[in-house]
Amino acid sequence: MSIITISRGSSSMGKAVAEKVAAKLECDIFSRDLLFKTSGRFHVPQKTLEKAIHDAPGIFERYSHTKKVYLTYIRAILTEMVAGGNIVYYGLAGHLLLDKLPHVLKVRITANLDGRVKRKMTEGFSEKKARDMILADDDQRKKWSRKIYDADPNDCSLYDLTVCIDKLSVENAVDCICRCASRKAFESTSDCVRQSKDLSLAWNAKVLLVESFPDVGITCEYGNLLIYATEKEAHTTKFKKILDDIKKENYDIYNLEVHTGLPVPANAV
Amino acid sequence: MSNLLEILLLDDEAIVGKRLKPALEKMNCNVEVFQDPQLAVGRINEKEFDIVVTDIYMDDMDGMQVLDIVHEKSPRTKVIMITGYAMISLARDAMEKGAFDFIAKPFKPDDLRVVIAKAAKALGSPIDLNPLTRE
Amino acid sequence: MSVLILSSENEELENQIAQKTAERLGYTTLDQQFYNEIAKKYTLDSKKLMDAMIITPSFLKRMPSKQWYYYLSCVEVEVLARLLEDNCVCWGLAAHLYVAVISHVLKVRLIGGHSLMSSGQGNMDEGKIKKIIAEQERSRENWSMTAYNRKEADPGLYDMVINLDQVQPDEAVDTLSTTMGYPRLKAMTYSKNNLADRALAARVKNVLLKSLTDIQVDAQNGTVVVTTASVKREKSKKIDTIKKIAAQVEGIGYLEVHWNKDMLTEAAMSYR
Repeated sequence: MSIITISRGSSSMGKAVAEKVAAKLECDIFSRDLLFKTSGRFHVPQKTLEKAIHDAPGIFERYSHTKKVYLTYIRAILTEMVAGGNIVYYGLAGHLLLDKLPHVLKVRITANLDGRVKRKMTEGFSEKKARDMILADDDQRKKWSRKIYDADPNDCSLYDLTVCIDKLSVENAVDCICRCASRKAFESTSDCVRQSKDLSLAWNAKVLLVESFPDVGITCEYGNLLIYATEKEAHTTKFKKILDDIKKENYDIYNLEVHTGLPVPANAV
Repeated sequence: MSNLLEILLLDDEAIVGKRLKPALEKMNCNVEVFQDPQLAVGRINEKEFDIVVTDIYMDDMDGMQVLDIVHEKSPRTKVIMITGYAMISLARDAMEKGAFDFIAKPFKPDDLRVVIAKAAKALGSPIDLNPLTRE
Repeated sequence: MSVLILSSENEELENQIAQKTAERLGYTTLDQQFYNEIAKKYTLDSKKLMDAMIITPSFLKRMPSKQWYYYLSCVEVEVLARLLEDNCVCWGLAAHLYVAVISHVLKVRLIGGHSLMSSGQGNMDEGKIKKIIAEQERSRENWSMTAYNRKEADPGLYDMVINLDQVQPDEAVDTLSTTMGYPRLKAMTYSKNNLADRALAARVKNVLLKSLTDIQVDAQNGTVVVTTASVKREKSKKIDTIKKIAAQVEGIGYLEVHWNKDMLTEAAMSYR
């Protein structure tokens, strides 16, 4: 049982690597399907979700929490898929969306710019256009990452393994990743499965709260859901109603408690 | 394998074969030179060579294809790639495909002889390079 | 003749992983002990040589720029010469910064793993460790930028980066040993010649830096190109000196000197 996220810049052969890794490890593979599923469940157009996960927030978006809501939807679906185990996700920001699960093998594929431009040119673009498109895409991803997660996608400490596809071939990268996935740290033990399920419960609870109470924090351990809110938030009728909905919608919740006036823990979603 | 090392040399520039053939024959090698990749492949299908030296960029067929054909016909044959357009990615691809060595042009006949001697050693028929160094 | 070059801010784990990988692959090792050999060969103070690999030029620290560049150049010449000889695992000698893209050289950066350290940092709290590492990284970045105009932590410098926070050192050894076995990393005449060119350029630069400054050297197929700058009236003198000194170096097929006008000095002189 492996859970692998593969992050890459555009035209860096990440898709080819992900497909071969999934085939070799007999895992499910998904990328855009995540947005498809999220769109289906929450009735938000795929294009809007894609923008939320790719483009940096615009001037006005910085003051609203629209992107936060969409990201919560996406994470709820992603953690649900991950809780099932045995998957390769090569869509945007997998390493950040699943940063709370240590047994997820987070891989980054890098490639030199000239090689990327050449690959992009095979799609029918001129050299200049291809280069501009790649640089603009890199820039958006960098800004998004910085704005939402205060992280640089090129920061290797976000990944367990970074492989340059220019020196090693796609096959070599696949071999490296599969070997790494078999290491002890990335084994999907029963404890890891439990952690994934807990995380999925927390995100699904957050889905119901995020629109009206974007700043609440939620943790979940062994099915025990702890919600960190302010005194004021917790006493509203809306909040209480949402708590009832959470209990009704998530049968796996063992216990639900609301903590007020306490700082939100770092591992909260 | 007889004592004579059987070598096929393929390069679409006539001067390359003309220059290298005598240099290799001095080291106990029987060298067949081709300029046309199709004819060379035809010959590879007829005869098992110990070493194939092939250019990479040619009009009808590239050296990488020749490498595949040689290995399919005779896995023990050592293939040495030569090219005037050496690029690191090309060199790596050639090695991944099982080339024995990769040399960038221009090179001296002596450079190729050293590589041929290495290939001969890997084939279990070492060649003495010393008489050549005294030339 | 494949080469594995490791770089890390975690010296303890780097040593451990490098030694074990070399043992597993049957490769020779090249590490900081080599500084003594280099110092002896060039009659340099070995402590000062090691200092030069850590600090940037400073009059306060008695490390003038000219001397500093020469020391670095001595290390470069000797490391490159050694890498040409054998299958080797090399670390702690900044080789990742001056060994260019060579197809049989794998450059790997090891990051993280501070909780695994047996002494010192292993028992510190996470915040303190992070602070120390950030400080070390800043200082290394300053050094690598001054010396080679490259950021040491830039992932673009490496073929692979392994994060030791999750991957255990023994697993990293496995990964490195397997990777070194890939046919793409096999040494070939072309890549060996590339490395030999790099070594030749380093040798030429080294003899020139004994007496000259502002020297860049490149080599391809034995043809050496020296790029320098000076005020216009010293042009021929500088070119002649370079040609005369560089001629001592063995292996040069053809030597070219490219001269640029030193605009700053020229402007300063015109105001005198």
